Amino acid sequence: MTAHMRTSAEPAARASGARTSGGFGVVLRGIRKQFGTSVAVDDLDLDVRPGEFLTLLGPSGCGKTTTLNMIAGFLTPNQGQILLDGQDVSRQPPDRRDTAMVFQQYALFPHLTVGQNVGYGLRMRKRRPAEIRVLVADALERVGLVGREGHRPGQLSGGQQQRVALARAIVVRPKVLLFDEPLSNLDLKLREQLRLEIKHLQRELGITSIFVTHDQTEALVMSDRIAVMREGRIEQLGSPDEIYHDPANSFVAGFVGQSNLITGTCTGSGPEAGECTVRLPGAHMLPARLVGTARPESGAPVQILLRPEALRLATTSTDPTVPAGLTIDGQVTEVINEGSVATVVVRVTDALRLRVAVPDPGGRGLPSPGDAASVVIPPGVARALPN
Amino acid sequence: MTVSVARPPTRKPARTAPATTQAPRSSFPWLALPATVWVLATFAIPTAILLASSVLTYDGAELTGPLTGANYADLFRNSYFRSVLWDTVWMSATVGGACMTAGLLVAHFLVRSRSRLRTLVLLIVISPLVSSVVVRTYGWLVLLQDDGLVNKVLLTAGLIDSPLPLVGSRFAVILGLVHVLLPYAVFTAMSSLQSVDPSLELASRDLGAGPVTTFFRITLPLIRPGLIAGFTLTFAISLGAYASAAVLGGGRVQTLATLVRDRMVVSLEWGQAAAISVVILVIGAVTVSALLLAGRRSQAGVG
Repeated sequence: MTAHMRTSAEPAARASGARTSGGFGVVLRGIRKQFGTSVAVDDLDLDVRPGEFLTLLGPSGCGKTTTLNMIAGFLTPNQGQILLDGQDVSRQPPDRRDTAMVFQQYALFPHLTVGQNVGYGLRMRKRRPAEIRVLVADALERVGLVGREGHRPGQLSGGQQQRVALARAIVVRPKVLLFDEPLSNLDLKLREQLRLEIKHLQRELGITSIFVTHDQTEALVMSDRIAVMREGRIEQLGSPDEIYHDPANSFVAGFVGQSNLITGTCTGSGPEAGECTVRLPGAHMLPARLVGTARPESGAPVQILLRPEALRLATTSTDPTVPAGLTIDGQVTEVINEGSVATVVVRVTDALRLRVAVPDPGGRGLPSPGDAASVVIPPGVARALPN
Repeated sequence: MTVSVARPPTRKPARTAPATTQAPRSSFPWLALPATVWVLATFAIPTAILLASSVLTYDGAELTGPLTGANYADLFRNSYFRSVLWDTVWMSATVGGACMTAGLLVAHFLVRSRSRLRTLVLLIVISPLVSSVVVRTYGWLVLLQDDGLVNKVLLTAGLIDSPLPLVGSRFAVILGLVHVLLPYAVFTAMSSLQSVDPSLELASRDLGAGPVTTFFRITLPLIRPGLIAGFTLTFAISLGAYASAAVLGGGRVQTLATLVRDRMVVSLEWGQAAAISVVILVIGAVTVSALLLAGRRSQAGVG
């Protein structure tokens, strides 16, 4: 958990950071939001660095959108402070905050042209018409919609509408860009393409961005850092790599990526420091690296994470391409072929079923359900999670 | 009077919707038959008779020919009729404007607020619908007469020295009509506002527009068709409203509707009465068509 409060010496550092990266920081301190008796956001601390792309990731109802709406000013927190570039904006209305949001449903003004939509924020900022024209054209060019100023939003496709919304947000060069699941209404191909476009644009402009999504792939692909949220709290804050490979707990491990989560028993410390040796169901012994706050005592149950793509499938015990490691024999119960990768489920015992990812399955000859198979767990891939 | 609430100005559905996904057409067109027959019997046929009697001569027993424009010619030569016509039109326009302004404010509260008072306000707004027009109108009479509540309060407060002659004023008639017609205005405005995606208003605020700017630049243009429809509705009803004008006008305010009655009952000029009724009908129809056309045009701009 790296969500933390800034110390008093740091605003200066932030200011200089802002100069070099061109971005502004956002700090949430002890934010709490209740709707009636239900707590949507619970004592949340978050420090968004200047210029970074931070994703709030979590299932629906985890408080991510509420958090975003509080940063935009659409909601007022019951407690806590929101600092934008060092200024407390917690009680300011949205039009007094230098943020710009890209909405899930685009929220383009249907009675205005694309050009008027994109220029709306500049007009509110009392910029001169000639200047607005130039900036609008530039913003539309950046999102690949050159010369569409005169169209109505209704004449554009969903992807184009979201590009207009993106242009409308970046054209005012806000201190923070806010994204509220902007890609979830688009089909997969377009979504994958827009992810990269948004990411590139954000990097180019260096605008601090907060992105809300429930799509873990989106979060992993786009973010500098990810905050995984559950029930109004941040479960883990870290780089995509940390979140994926060293999840702080079984919730994060289960939410991000495919995973085998196995309950084993700790039998004592492992061969290396920071490891424990775990007895899996079926009596195999496996050294696992301790993650986060996990300090299981000997004899205590412990959650083991094995990513399917870290495991290897061996159909013959002498397969030379399979690395050394703990080998567990079992029987194939299911084969899910997605083309570029296949998932093979191997049943060892009733309490132990392992999902193994087989990349590029086309050339390999996948096993069939019922076949005998061995799963190889290479050293160093197992993680022991705190309960 | 059938004024349709303008189609909500929402985004067009995705253009990709193929024809095959359209809902199957109803195969029971005769379901509309009873209502159609009813409207024909109670509206179309009497209207036809009315039209006929305005251009024929009534000889005391039956309508006879030949066709004549004399009734209309007489009417429009008559300066008293022209002044009543003008009074009725501007009073109805005032009622329509006041209704839509007040209705929009109430509707905005009902649609956008999360206040617990919403149900109460809604009940108050629809209360005129559940009581008789005569009861409501006499209620205003009680309030507005010389020793009524309004005058008593004003006298006690020392704002006036003698009671204001409220009953029998055009003001009283307008007030009564606004009260009666407000529910229609509120409902039309509500349905328009409900069709405006709240995230459009949020987006506007987010981009730096204050609440007032957001209302005039985003919300108002999007609900304009609905407001026009609501204005038309209340205007058209006011044109022919009789009870409020007769009771609150106290015989001193003449509108087209009370004039029709006078010509029929007092002077027994049925041809004239029919002609005035046709004038009411024509003004209403022309206004409805013109404003709905304008509404459609401003809505087309929305698409």
